[in-house]
Formats: sequence, C-alpha cells, structure tokens
Amino acid sequence: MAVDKDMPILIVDDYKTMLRIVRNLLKQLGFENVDEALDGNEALEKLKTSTYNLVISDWNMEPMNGLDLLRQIRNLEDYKNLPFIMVTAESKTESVMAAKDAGVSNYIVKPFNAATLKSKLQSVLGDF
Amino acid sequence: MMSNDLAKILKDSGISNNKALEALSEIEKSILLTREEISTSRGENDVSDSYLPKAIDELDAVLESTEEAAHQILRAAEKIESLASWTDSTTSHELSQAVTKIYEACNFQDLAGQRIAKVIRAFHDIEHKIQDMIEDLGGTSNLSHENIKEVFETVTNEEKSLLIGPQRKGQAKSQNEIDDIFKN
Repeated sequence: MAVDKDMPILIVDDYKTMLRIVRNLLKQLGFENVDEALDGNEALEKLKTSTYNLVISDWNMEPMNGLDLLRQIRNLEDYKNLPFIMVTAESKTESVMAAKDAGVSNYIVKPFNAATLKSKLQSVLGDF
Repeated sequence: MMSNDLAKILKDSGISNNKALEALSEIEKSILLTREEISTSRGENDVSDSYLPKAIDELDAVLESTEEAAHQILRAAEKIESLASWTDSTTSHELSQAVTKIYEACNFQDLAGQRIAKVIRAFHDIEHKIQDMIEDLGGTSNLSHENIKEVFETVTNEEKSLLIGPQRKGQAKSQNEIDDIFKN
C-alpha cells in the first residue's frame, strides 16, 4: 500500500533548530502535514486532542523526556501501535535497549543525515 | 596532652617533645591561616563567586549565539530552497541537494548545545562542592541549602540515568551498530 504523504506527523524536540531541520527534511521527502511539540507533556496533550500517524521524538527533554513520552503513548489505547521514531544523541547500548523495550519503532542517532531519516521512515511506514 | 603512642614515636626518633610541639603549632597556625583566608575571600576574585558564574554566563552566551546562527543559516537555506523551484530542473535538483547538506550540517547546534549544557552542569557541581568546602572550613556560603540540594540531586540523577548526551567518536554506538540491535 502506498504511503499517504499527507499523514499528520508530530515532531518533538526542545531545540527549535532541530524541529526546523526535521521539518525541512520531511518536507523534502514530501511530508508537509507536520506539527511540533517542545517536550513530552506538550506532545501528549496534542496526541489527546489531535490524531497523528507518526511521532518523531528527541529523548533528552524536560520536563517529560522522549522515553517517558513513548511509555505514556504505549499506554493509550488509540496509540498502542503508533509508529514512534526516536532521534537522539543517546547511543549507549543500555539506552537503545531501554527504548526498544519500551516499544520504539526505530532509532536514529544524532547527528543524522537525510538518507538515514528516509530509510528509517521507510522501515516504519513502508516504501515511498 | 601528647598521647603515649606519639611520645614513644618521638622518643624512638630522637625528636624532643618541645620540637614536636613547635612543629604541631606551626601546622595549626597554617590551618588557621588557610581557614581565615578561605572564609574572608568573598570578593571579586573568588572562584565560586566570580570565575565560575562568569564562565557559565560565557557558555550560555555561546549557546544563544550558535542557536541564532543556526536559525539564520536555516532561514537562508529555506529561501534558497523556495527559489530553487524557479530554476531549471537540473539546477533545482543541485540546489536542493546542497540545501539538504546545510540542514544536515545544522545538527551541530543541537549537539554542541547538549555538550555545553553538560559542561555547565559540571561547573555547577564544582561550584557547589567549593561552597561545601568553604562551609566545612568555617566560612559562610552565599547559596541556600535548597539550591545546593537541588543541583546535587539533578547531577546525581543524571549520572544514574540513561541520559548522558552526545559521546565522543569511539565511545558512541554508530547508527549501524544500533540498527543491528533492532535486527535482533
């Protein structure tokens, strides 16, 4: 099935620069229906009031970090299987395993390039 | 009063009691002088009052200026990208690829920011350890215990947590190594 490039995507990062970079790279890949949140709490509020087909989130944020956001999302009936990509500088095996155990769909380590973002999107959403 | 053990050691070493008391008195004076210097050195040159906060301010300024620079670069790249559609397809494609490289390179701001934040936290840690040392030596700290406790709890929790921020090449797992974890 073809990937719907109009799907609503939520990107979460406390660095506005990163939000802007991810938004621009997504736009280049044809995904323009993108919303933003600055931490896990804001993302959770948006998820409760709007529908999203994909979350791309940083890990290291306050007050709610990306791992806690992922865990909270997996507890929401509507979002149990929501694709969730972690984009983070945390690259310790223990960190990656913790995210995997919490149900992350894929994991991108910063700094990343456009090709990596595209390949992880494809692994989660299917080819486009 | 001198303990029996100490008296025996001095006797065996051939050092007279008076000589030993003189030496101990010098050491005591030296300790008292150091305490006095630490407890009164609260002026402009004090490490915890001046140097460290200034260093932290400088790093904050670096954070702000790199963030602003990154946004300016991104704004310019976005402008180029929007104008690319007005050119022929080959030029447009090449401009788009160049803009992608700019977006990728701007990752630096986030990583530099995280690294600087780690250094700032380390400075806070040092600052509070110095404050504790001053208090232990009889000086007075100008920071509240609440503040010190808060910073120490933050640092301690971070050390224990999975969040350590960007690592140096060789210490960090590569994207390929992380991909392998997901394959298993």
